[in-house]
Amino acid sequence: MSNSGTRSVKGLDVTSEFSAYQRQWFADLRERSAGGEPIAVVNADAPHEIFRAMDIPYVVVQWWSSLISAKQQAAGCLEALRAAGYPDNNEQYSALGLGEALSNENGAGPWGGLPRPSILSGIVTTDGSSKVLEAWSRETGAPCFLFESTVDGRLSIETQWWESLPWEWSKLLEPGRLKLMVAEFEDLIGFLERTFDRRFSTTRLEEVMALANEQLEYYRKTRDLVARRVPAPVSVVDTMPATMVPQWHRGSVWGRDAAKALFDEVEARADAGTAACQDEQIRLMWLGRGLWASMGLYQHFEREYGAVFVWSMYLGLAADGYLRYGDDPLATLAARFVPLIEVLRMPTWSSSWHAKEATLHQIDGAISLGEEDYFSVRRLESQGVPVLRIDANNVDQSTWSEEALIAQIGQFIEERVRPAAERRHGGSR
Amino acid sequence: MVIDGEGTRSVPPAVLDNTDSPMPFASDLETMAAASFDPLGHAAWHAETGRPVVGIIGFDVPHELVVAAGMVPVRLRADPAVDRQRFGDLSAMALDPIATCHLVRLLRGDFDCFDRLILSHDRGSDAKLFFVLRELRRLGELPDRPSVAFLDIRHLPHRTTAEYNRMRIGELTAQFEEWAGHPIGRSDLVEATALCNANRRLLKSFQGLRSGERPRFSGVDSLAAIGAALVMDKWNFQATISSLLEGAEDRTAIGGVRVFASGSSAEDASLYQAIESAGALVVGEDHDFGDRSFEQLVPETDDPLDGIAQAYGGGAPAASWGGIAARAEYTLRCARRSGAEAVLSVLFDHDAALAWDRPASRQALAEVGIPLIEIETPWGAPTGSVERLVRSFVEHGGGVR
Repeated sequence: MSNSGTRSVKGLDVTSEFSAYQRQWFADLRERSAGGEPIAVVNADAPHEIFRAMDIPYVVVQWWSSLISAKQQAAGCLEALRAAGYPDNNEQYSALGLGEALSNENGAGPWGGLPRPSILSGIVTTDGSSKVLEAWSRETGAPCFLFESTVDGRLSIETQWWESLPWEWSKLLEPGRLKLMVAEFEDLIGFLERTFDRRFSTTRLEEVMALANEQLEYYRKTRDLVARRVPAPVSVVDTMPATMVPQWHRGSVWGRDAAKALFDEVEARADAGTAACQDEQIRLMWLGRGLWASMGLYQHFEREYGAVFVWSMYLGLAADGYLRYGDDPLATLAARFVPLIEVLRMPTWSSSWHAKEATLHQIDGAISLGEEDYFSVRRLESQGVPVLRIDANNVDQSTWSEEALIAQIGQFIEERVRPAAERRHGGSR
Repeated sequence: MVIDGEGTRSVPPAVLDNTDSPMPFASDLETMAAASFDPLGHAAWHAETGRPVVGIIGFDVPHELVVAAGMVPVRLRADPAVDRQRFGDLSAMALDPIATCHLVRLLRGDFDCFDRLILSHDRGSDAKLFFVLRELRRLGELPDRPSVAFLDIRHLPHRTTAEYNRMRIGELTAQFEEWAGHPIGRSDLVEATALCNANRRLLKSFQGLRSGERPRFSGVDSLAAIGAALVMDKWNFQATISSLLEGAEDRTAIGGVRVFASGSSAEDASLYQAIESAGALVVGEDHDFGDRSFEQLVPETDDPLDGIAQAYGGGAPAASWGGIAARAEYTLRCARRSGAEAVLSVLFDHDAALAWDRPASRQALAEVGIPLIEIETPWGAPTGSVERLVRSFVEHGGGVR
């Protein structure tokens, strides 16, 4: 199997600008760390806004994994985990940074390597997730603050969650779950104040929340634009990194401005008639985590079939999953994180959402990599969207190769997606 | 529990003749084994007696609440012989084989004997199973019977989590009251807690005889007894194990190299049978069908629900949710307590998350010189390789990894 993927060609100026910014931001972060400032290493589902409001720089574990993967260093990190006796076949997307910390080559990680964390944090979303963070804590000495992952045990729940969750979250989410997370936030704040000599300000958190919502509103506008415009002005090759990088600066002025810049450039391209693929024939959906080590793979199908990946969860989730409005910033923040994993992994919500997004984006076919997608596949197939399931892990290249994926997806497009696209062009779907 | 005109009161069921099984067995152990390893058959028998039967998937559902509501709790075990492809390829549901087994049995009607089915959150895969059941119900593809409920008990050692658990226990109690059609009084809860605690004490006595200098019971016997406590009517279990313990000192001591089983839960007896047929004797375990199920009594608090929430939210660390350090300490403590000569760490393939515990466990055991045998195997796979590995250890001593 090949272990070096094809690089993509980015279409947007902002994508490379964000990448340059991120590189400088990370260099500054390393400098702050070297100067003795605390650095948090947090999962994507941790309450970043609290860390931001308390001026504690944080690195998102999954972003760091994506960078390790893009730099073709994932295999080495998995090997380091294995050598230390940890599993290399569980929670890989969350554990590459630990693997990097365990490797003996200090500073060999991307961009000089991840500084030693001062605190680790995340939600206990799976049996393995808290164990990874505890192992990381054990290996680095950093304290670990965990949040409970709670479950709504009601048998009947709203399915069209995206319509009301931003504004009416208190009607959709159980009060007990919100109360627990707010209490956990308060405990975290106390811990950060005591440990790092920081002070929490509600006013500052309100500012962060307002900026975050502004940022997310731009993602919504960008998503809507990409969804409705044929041919699509941009593909996931740009929207995945151009969403993901600023998403982890959520609640900052730069994050808000970056989201606006993304929208502005996509809108300008749309107005100018510029497309990701001028000869767009087929619109595809990518279910699952990004194939960061092989971003060029997405563009292969543009050249071969005029098939454009117009949807990924990165922009989709940024548009629908995070927006929350409310007067109480901690409760509103809890409403952002209590249901976050359910949006992606709980079948009643994820399958309804995937179906909605497929319709909105005029999708002809979907490729699902490593996802818990049984019900999404059923929903999509039932509405005429064929789905190819690939059992692989995005950052573990022992589970896939670019050549095999190209062959598999190509065959799928020819046999199942092209007819669906022809029906769309003929207006029969 | 029975209801009479004067309100709720608790009495033992009329039948206390040690025949809590579909058919008479020659020995108390056989009675318990039949219940433990065939919970569905036993549940069907309960159902025929006319008492409401509650199927339980997971460790965290308090049997005390079920008993207090006048119902019979039956903890389900998965059966590797079930055809998990019966309804096609369900792998995209991302359930582990245990949860898939439960799903298939539910869909094919095997759970008809239950009035209710309650799942808990102690394993991530069981929470996913609940999500799947909820979606199938929404799609009209779930059998009408049994009705399904979920109990979300969490385990971080935080005050906030304890308060959350207490709320969920209160909600489940209200749910039971609705199902039962009558209030569950404090005396019901107190008596149910006392009954379940009494059974835990009896299991501790059983464990003492099993792991003593001259073990009277095997690991397979223990799986039968511990499992039966979660399946049989509580009163009849008490009578049965009491009868067993009365004559236990006279039983012939069982030989074998003493090993402690760690890691994945033994849903059936096949693994223990393989281990013990190789000349070892399983004298304790840290999984759900072991010490965890009886070593901590439910505190008998002023408000019984406080004690129940405290016990089920706390307790010894489970393989699924326990912290790495806590699990290493627990495994070591239990292994030493049981006088184990080695620890046998078994991970079924679907329990990959448990492998995060291993470096700390290795270190803790190595520091006190307890050999560790590590086995990774698919659940339900032939046990010949396990038997060979254990036999090699038994015959050649330490150094086996």
